[in-house]
Amino acid sequence: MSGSISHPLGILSALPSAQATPAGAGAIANPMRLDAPVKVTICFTESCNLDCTYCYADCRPQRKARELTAPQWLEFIDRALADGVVCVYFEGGEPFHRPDFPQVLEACTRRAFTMVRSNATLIDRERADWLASIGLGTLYVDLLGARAETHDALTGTAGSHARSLDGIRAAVEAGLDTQLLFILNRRNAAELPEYLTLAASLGVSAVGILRLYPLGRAKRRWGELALSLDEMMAAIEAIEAPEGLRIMQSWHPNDANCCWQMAAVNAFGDSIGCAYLREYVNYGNILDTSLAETWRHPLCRELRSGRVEASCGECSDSQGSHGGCRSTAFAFHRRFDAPDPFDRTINRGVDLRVLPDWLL
Amino acid sequence: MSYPTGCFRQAGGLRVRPVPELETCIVFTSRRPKLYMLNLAAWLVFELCDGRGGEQIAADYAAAAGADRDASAIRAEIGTAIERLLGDGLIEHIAA
Repeated sequence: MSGSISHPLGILSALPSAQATPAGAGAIANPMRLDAPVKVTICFTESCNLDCTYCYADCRPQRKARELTAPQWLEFIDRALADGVVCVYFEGGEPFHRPDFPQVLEACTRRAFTMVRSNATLIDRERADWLASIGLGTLYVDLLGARAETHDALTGTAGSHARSLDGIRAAVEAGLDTQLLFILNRRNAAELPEYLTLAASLGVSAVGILRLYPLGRAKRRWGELALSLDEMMAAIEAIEAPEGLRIMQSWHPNDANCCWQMAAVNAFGDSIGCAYLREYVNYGNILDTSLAETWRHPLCRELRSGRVEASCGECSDSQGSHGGCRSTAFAFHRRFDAPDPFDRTINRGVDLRVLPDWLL
Repeated sequence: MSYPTGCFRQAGGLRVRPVPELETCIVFTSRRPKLYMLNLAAWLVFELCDGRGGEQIAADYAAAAGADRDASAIRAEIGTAIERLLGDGLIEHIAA
């Protein structure tokens, strides 16, 4: 029967797990195939009003000249929707930092399920009401700590925690489905229980606990931010979800290989498969190649096939895919078919606190 | 289980993406922004809701589902599907 679905990283992760096949000897591949993407992530800008120490896109206050314009995004969105896309996920940078973002968002919300990832500092009650009125599907807010000092240190911006909380409250009061994103790292792991209590008190519907990816500025601060896998698992396993608050996490036994359903375009129009693959792949620029064509790029096809050398049976059963996240697998092994070291069953002794030389 | 009498049609403001590769149909409702994934039974009923009446939907569904299926099971499937599709705002009841 029907049911609503939502997930900060993979909107289709709620697909029936019965389609998963057990990991076994020989070639392991995802059982699911899509001839055309259902969802696309648009990394709208690499500008931001905050200065996060871990920023994956290495954002700056000023918009880069090469970023796609609003008319270019609108044309792209028209084509993507015509090709069958029904979900559009906007992230940045901070999308609302660009004054032309509302125009693009509004053109989407009645034609596709839309999600926006934001720091919420630029969302006041008036904007929240507007977002509800145009039919935004879900607002995801990066809130990095329960305590202001933790969050502000990670965002590099004094007062940002209070402003984000104001934005979250405005969104919840406006009736928007609002969910928090918590990037688990050494600075905030200890306050995760307190964070969940705060989230419940704010009235958000869910919290997504995300891994720290070795991208952008996070690579340069890896030594001070990264946790060992044991430390991450201890934090995850200690979670006691407050009543009514949904918790999402992508460690074992929920480590998905989302590539089969992922399409993403960066701020310059490059089709990169997934925002977390932004430094590793480029399937072509959507100004001169359609999204559908980049979907058929040989590397994209290979990643979508899900062929991996090892897979965790429990994660495969729960996610319907094999091998876990391809971004972290590639980062630590430099092979797209490698096992994801963030899954403890296929970690194979990788110390996640230490980045391989090639990344640095 | 019985199903509501009268005729049914798909609601307005929907965006439909069939995904036969995954035996599902994804439907976006703009009136209340939500995504729904229909299984094969719900998808077939949804497709048949083009102004047909309940009896006609039942007959066409049974023809598509196969003659060897138990009639009461088919009626139960249709009843459940129509009830959920109505509740989710994906179809609407119209005067016969």
